[in-house]
Amino acid sequence: MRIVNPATILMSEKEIIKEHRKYLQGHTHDRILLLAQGLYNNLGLIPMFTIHDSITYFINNHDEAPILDCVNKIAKNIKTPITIEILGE
Amino acid sequence: MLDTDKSELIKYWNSYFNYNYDMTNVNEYYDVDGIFNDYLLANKTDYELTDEICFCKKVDSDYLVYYVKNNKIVSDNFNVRAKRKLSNLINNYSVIIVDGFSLSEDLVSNNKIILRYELIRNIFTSNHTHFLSDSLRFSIDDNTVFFTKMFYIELFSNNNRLNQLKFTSYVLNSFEKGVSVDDIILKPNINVSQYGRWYWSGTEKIQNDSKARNKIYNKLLKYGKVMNIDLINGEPWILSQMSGSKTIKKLIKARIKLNSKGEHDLGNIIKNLLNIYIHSVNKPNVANAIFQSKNNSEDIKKIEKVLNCKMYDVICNISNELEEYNKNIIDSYKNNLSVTEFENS
Repeated sequence: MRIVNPATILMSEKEIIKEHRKYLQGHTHDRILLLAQGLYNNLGLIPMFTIHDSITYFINNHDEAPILDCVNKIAKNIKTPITIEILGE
Repeated sequence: MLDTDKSELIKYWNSYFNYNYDMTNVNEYYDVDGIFNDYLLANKTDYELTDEICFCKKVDSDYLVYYVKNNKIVSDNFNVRAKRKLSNLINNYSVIIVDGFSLSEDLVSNNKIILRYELIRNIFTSNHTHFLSDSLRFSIDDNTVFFTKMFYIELFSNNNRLNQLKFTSYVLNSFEKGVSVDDIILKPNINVSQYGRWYWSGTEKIQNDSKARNKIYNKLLKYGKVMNIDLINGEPWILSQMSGSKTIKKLIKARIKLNSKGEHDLGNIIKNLLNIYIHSVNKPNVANAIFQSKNNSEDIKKIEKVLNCKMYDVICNISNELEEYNKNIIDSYKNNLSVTEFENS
């Protein structure tokens, strides 16, 4: 990801870093989508929605064990700690 | 904006791009982005175009398709009902860029690549400009960049990035196409912010209202299960990966441990410390004073015991560990007008 800021010559170092930190929002959302890409490639799952640094799936009445196994493997692979919650168990 | 500021900006950009732009051309009412885009427009150069890409927009109820014909960019207008004509045209191109709406998949052959403009822009600039690289510098008002041979080559030069772009475009389209659960229809308009978040509007308020989310969950649970995946301290974790900060990682691990013991209040104090510190960019003594004033001293002592370190020292360690990373960011902006993070995306 490339971030352009043509105004930095007018900004203090603190202002530059403060502005730059806002792009962490995008990095976390990209990370969530990277996880989703792995799930789609492995299991064909498509998410229902994302909320900034979380993602929600409807998994029907499938056995969640292989899904959880896959999610955990992807998270480990992309070195990202996550929590998983299954509703309706 | 002061004239001296404008003058400084133009001088800086002239030196960077090796142009000689005249200060008198700058519109006095523009902000920096506006001036920068005008600057790029005034210094436009010629590029070789490709006929592999078309660009689609929706204006009111019409589709507007831009493409290259005889080495010139032309456009055709299609009424929303003229789908066959639209399909016939866009299927002539291997890459279809779509701006601001979800293109129905049945209009496009399987072998075509559909990419969302908003996501391309965020990957290449994350800002209100088409300054995609030093070689591809265009104003936001000029879509020519997407028809250049150089852009086409750049797009296919990084497979991981292209696959991510294809997938995220697919997800954005699928969200916007919508889904219905009983009497609830989730069909959002999604605004992709320059900082990279996707904001939903015009549908159930699932992003900022837990009641609306629970309503959806309850409907879904009649038919099966729901899986929620959350990043733990997403922003601090990613910052720790980019900067190599061991202290941020240590704090996140301590939070995970506290949460696993059911000590969520203490875990939340760590979460808040990280989030506030990262975004405030305060000096350690200021950050520590704010932290001490906002938290109970007994809780702070408990956390210090878990971490085996005084909070002020923890904050100093983070500050020191981020110093080199911050310096590289500042240098990159000053030397390149941009920063690249996560090269593959």
